[in-house]
Amino acid sequence: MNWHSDLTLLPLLPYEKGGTLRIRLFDVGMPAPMDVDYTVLGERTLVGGDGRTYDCWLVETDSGSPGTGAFQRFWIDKASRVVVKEEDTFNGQYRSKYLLAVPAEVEFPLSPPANGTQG
Amino acid sequence: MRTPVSGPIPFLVLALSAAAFPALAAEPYRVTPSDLHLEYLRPARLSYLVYMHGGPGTGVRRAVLSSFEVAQETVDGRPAWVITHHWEDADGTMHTARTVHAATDVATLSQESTWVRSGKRMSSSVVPAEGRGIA
Repeated sequence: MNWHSDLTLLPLLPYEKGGTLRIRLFDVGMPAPMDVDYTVLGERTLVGGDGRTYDCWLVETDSGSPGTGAFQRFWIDKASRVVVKEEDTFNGQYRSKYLLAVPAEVEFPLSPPANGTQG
Repeated sequence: MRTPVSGPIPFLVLALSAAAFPALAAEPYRVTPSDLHLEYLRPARLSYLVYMHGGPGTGVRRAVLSSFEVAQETVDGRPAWVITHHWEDADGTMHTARTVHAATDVATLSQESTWVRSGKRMSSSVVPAEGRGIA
């Protein structure tokens, strides 16, 4: 499986089995594919600002680097199989990812200023 | 002072642990393409806010708006899922990628990507089935 597409493809794993799931992953720049384990830690319920409830699997991986303390955790909505939240450690810090309620798209492009300069 | 435990008790403890925490005790389940819930794939446009931090109150750094589109297409005569990424940070577009996955098992058919880091632009193109990759 392509690691670069993880936010789209990882939710498709059979988490309903529970336990630890092992999958072979590859990304551009890696010397070879590697086995990576994803463990279902449990279930979590997140409530969005609009009141929508997300019943999630909480899934953790060491990203194929056991013993390094690195981790990646995914909150995967069971109903839609979409990652709604992700946390990982990266260069000694947290890196967080949050799904926005709607895609970030500009419907009305900014018009250039009439005099050609910006204020 | 605790008395050293010997005999069958440690085995009983291990057995109970395995029963209580099957995820820790069981061998990982090897996922195959037939296990994947491909029926959940659907055309979509999603955006994620991505940022670095050291915990609450430590400040937010390197904020990135990561957007991608999932589309169902026919590529080279094959049904495919195409995932198009567009990541943008404070300086502009920092990453784009177009990955073509086989509809049958989401195997990677091709991927083209571009990264901009420290003002330097890097591109890659891979076609796994042909053993071809350019970076």
